[in-house]
Amino acid sequence: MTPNMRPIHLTILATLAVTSASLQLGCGKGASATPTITYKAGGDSAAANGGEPVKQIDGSGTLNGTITLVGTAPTPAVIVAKGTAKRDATVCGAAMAIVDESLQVGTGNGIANVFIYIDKTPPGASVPDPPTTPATFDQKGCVFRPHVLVVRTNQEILIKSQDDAGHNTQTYPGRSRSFNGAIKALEQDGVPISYNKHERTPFPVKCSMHSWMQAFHIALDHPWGTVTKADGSFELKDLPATDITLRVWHEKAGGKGGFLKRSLKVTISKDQTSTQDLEFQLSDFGL
Amino acid sequence: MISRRLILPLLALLPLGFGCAGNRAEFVNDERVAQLDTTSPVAADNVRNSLLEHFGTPNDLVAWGALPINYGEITGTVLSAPDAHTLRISLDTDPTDPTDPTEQFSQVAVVLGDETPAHRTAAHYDAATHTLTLDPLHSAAPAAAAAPGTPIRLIGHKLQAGRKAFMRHCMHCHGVTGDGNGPTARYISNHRLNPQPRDFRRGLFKFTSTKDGYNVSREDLRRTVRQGLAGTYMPSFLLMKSEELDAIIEYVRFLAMRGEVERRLLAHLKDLLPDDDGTPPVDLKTLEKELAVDGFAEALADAAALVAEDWTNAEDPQNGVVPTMARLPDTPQSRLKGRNLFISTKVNCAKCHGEGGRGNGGFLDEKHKNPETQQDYDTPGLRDDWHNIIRPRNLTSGVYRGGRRPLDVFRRVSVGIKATPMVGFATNVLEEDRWHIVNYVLSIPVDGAFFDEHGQQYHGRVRLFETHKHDSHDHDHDHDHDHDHDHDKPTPSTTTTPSESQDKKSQP
Repeated sequence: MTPNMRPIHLTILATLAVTSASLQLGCGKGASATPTITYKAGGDSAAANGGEPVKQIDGSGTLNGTITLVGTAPTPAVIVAKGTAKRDATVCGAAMAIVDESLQVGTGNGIANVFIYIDKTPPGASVPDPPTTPATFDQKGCVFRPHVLVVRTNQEILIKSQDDAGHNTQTYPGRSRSFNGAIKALEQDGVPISYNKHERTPFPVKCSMHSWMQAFHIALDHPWGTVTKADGSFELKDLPATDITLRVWHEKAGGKGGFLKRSLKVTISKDQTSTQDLEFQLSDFGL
Repeated sequence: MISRRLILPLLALLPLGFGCAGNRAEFVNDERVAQLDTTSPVAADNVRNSLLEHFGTPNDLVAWGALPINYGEITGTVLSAPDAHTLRISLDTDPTDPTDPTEQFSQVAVVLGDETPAHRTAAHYDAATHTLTLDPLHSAAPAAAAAPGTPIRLIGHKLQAGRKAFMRHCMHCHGVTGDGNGPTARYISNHRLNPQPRDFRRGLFKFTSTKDGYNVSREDLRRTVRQGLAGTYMPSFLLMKSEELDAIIEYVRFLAMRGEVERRLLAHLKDLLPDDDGTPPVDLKTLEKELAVDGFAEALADAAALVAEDWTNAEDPQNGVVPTMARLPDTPQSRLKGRNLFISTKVNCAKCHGEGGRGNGGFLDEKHKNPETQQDYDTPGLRDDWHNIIRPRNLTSGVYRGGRRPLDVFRRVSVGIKATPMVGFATNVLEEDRWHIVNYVLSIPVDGAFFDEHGQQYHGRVRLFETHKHDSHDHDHDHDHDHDHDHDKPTPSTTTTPSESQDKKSQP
């Protein structure tokens, strides 16, 4: 070491010392401070539902109705014209064009595929066991069938395929465990899945191999949910005879999916059928 | 010379001015909380307060008992209480912490008996005299309330250690909040260098040993931190002491759960958020009432219960992917079976990974839908759940992010990669066939990358698949040299008709 270099070294050392000191001081309680721990017991914030027993609801009734669109229904866009699919062309869109299914308006301007369901089981309602027969979720021509599906929590769903092409099914539930599994060509036994939690809103189901493929599912911890048919009609049977709140949800509500009606309050009377017809504007669908 | 000497100390002063800006030790809330401010300030405040109350800040952490996190807890009994802020205690386990004996129990939570936890914080523990001194500033009630024999719990030393180590080793990329937005992240995420640092707040981690739909386990996180993720910026921390590693993993889980609870609260309040153009929802007041924005204890409890269940399930060995048969011998025949499955219509790995395994199998030119908004993404390409564009792995590179052990690849093939379009094939393909695929995939970089995107074999290097051409499965490596003379005649593709033996049904 030459005598010349010593001052520089000292300067560097001093620099480092000042730098590190400034990092320590300048940043106050930064990464080096020991954090203080506060303990908060779990479970105390859980909504307690103890206390008074709830009176059982006596009897049940039926609700039906039709959901219609006011105005001229837009023509669904063609996503894949017949025979023009870039991949799996012998399967996808081979028999017919693949069209946008996000808003399907049928005869009498009825809106199909609207979810109508109770979110929270009314207190005192007796909930029957979920069906032991599995629901089927199929795909044909690279389109999910059905487009909308209501199941019970923990009810088995068999994912099948009539397509001679590989698919995958990817679910996006809000509360249940998700699923992302390959479905082989012409799967006829069905790959069993289920949703282990009650869902608050319908959620999308996709196939990442075919970007247009999309369906919507919901799993409920009670049987009081359905979807409108092609003519916009629906029927909910065996509803508990009490004041209920229904959710009306559609994948295109507000443009990107949501409630057409968040709270539809209806009174169900024992052994009676009541009717609720609903009308929506194009603007309700962001159109 | 003189000027240089002056410059260096001046440089040293810079950090005083700038060093701390943008780098404060604070948890950052999801941007939607600020959006919520524009419509329902009550709800936004409540989200912030709920998170503060149950998770705290990086310098004042909350150990919330509702979550399955090992905060570090040592139990014991009060022997006597000499004065208001001193306790003589007997601990059930040896508290000696070799990593940091001077700060033994400094600022951990002190819980006496089965009281509703009051704010009591330890200042210091002297192991020689069994004396615990409470921090008078942070201790609401005097320690004298503790009669001899009262059980005592010291909670949080591991959370502290995890916070400190995380700030030292992880924060630079993953951020103080674990949102993947640390100070270094901007240099990584310039769209060319993939992937971005993981945002923990969804509770999603790509590489797990758990089944489809299940969270990452502690052991998975430990492996990721120890091994790093090959081919990414995530380095290996193999030399880290195991106590420190464990503490970091608990802290990562803490940050993930904080993010998940926040996310679930925001999902509960989703309808209160303004539209894209800032329009507030109609009948805001009714909605606020229905969503109980001034309290939402139920939504919070629900969020915590769901999060707790998910993370607890991840530790259950039943939910792990464990092969029931050993890896099949890595023979040319096995690789060939794997290859045929790889390109078959039934399994069709080639659809994404390409005939040659080069990650060029398509889907990159299609616009996919954002599952959160139902709208097409602006740009084409496959997306992960964080909305990043991702590409199918190039299998010729020999770099496997999730690990290169055959078991790791088996798990990827079986249950896919979480939060990505890489799908699991356990639903679809028999276990022994998955092992064939593993054998083939692992052979690609060394032996099998001889297929171009059209499934044509490259010239010359065909020793394995030569056997297929001749329909003879008994030979393997001997045709190398013969084939070298065949350069101008590409070998016919093997893309068509995987033999019937690959059919699931015909397998025993």
